[in-house]
Amino acid sequence: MALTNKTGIAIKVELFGTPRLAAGRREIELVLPTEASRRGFAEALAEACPALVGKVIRDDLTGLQGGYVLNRNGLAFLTGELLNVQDGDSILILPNQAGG
Amino acid sequence: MYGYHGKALIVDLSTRSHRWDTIPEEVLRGFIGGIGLGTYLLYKYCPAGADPLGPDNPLIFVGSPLVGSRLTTSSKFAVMTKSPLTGFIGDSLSSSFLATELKKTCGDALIIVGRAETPTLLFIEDGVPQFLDAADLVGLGTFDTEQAVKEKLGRQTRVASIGPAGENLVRYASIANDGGRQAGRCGPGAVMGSKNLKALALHGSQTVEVANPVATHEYGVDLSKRSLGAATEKYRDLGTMANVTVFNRLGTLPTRNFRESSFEGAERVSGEHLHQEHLSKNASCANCTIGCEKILVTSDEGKKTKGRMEYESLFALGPLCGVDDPNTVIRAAAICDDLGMDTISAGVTIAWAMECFENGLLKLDDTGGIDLRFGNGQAVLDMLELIGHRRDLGGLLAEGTRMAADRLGGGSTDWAMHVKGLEMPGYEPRSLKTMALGLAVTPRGACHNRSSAYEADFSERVDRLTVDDTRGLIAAESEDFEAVLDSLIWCKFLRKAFNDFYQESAQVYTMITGWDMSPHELKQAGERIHNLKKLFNIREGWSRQDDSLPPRSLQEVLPTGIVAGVGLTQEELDYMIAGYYRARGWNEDGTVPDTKLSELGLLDLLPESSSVTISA
Repeated sequence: MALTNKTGIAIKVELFGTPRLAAGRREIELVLPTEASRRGFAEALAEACPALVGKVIRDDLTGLQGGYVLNRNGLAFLTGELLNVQDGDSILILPNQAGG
Repeated sequence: MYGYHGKALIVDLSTRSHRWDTIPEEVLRGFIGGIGLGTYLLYKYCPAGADPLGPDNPLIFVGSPLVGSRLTTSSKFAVMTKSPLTGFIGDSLSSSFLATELKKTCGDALIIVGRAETPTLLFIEDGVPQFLDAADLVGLGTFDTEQAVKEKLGRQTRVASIGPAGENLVRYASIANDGGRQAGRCGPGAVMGSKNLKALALHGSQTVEVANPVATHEYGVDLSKRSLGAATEKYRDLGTMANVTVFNRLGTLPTRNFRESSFEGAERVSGEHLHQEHLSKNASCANCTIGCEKILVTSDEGKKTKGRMEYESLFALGPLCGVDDPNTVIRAAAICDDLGMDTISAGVTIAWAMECFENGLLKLDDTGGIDLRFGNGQAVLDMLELIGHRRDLGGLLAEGTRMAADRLGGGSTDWAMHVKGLEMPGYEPRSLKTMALGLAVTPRGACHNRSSAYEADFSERVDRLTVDDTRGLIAAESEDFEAVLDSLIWCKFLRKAFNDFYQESAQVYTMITGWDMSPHELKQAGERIHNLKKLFNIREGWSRQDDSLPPRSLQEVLPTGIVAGVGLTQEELDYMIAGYYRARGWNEDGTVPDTKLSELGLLDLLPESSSVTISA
């Protein structure tokens, strides 16, 4: 699965709620390095969608704002610094305020 | 005394009389306020075995020590009664100006007993009740009722009222206040209707001082700042409507009466779509900095309708009924609010009827010609009106899913989606296993507010698709947390804004009441409150088999989405329930041992129950 011409791991970022409204789209395609970290993810996402910086991505691009968590393929909430994603994975950016 | 009045006003509608009862300090400290104090008062003033729709069942409005403090989100009150849906504890929360007026007028709680001979407007001004004729209000919706009462008694009067659903004893009727806010779950509106009480109007001037106003103000400023940060962003931006697309993606959005857990029309009724195409304005309760309320407006050719929308109304009146037309869902929620009817129970009951219709148990003759198939939005609107007025098939559906299924038979109990008689909220238990446990064991029935076990499922703490022995403690701790939250009373949407919930809340309690309160003591109060809820249910006939889930949740696997093939067995649920009872320190059969009662001080604090009649 090759989503862009860059080499690396091609993933899809799925947006919901506030991030989706800020970005003006539901999905963003990214290519990440093999050992992608949260910081690397934030930097790549900021480059692909600058509108998310500040609202969703920290201004210093070190990660996401505190109100968000990451989920892989809708099944696993991510912990740790490394994302451990594979080619074709989806990363969901979800609010940490679950339910309601 | 700071933060409290130390007394409750009791009004007897039968004898048109009233009295004040003292609430001792140890009771206030032990049960805090709101749901906690309300549970104590319900246990005390509701005689064992009372008919929920009989005059002995008290209808209790309870404030909290935080009301009047101006701390953000603190203008809330609890409504307690024995539920006509479940026969167990019935508790609901609502918000805004009525909370402050309640505390200015009725002490720490208002306990209404008896039954008026004719439709009555109960007007209480500084603790003195007047029993006014409400014949002219009968049949009015909640919005018109509130308006009419204010015109009669003054704009500063705060009003709680029922609509036609409450008058007609729909078992999931709500009580509305402050322009459409609802004490929605468990049917308090039916209890109010059974008392011939059309509306309650409050106006008062009694104030309660705060022990440390400077510290309270400083803390309040800081908390308000935090309430505007990332911790509440979801609620401020889209409100709980944001759940629709997330739940749909995760396979936890109940669809077509819980047959599926993802909905092909989810985007059309998503928070994002509604925000962009239907948002009229944001609104908030009194003393709230979050402002989660989303007032939506229809956009089609039909009658222009405005109404509040939140996730639970959206799921129940939309995907659960197979409806993906946003205008229909907006109208349906507005109809429920005006009739005075819980949107969750209404939607779940209609979804049950739709499945009965599709399975041939209900026919066109039964529905009055309404084509009650999933996806027919007009059918949902028509059924809501029939239920609210108990006309035709609406009379059966007004009983709620449990009683309606028992009466209709034909195997329809298998798809009657309730726990203990209370209809399920919008959380699919098979793909949220910790929440499955929470839904099964929570005293008021299937509930997402008294148990927040789903928070673990929506995090890295557990694998939400499997069960393990950690879930019992998680569910128990979430219930105790919610018990404290609902007793102080903080808004649930503030919960992530605290740095240390128990530490901060204990400090706030001390600032307001002047009574030392440690985080441990506060946490134990949550456990005490939860145990008393359980004791109320045991007294009213609870048994181990009441802690369960609907047959569908335990017999069918989910057919679609990323959770296709996932189910939940009876053995898995029993395993989690056993772990929960152990975590609570309860007996294997779920009863509460005396050692636990002693540990929580309940042997000393447990009130004797008796019916209340006040001589005229």
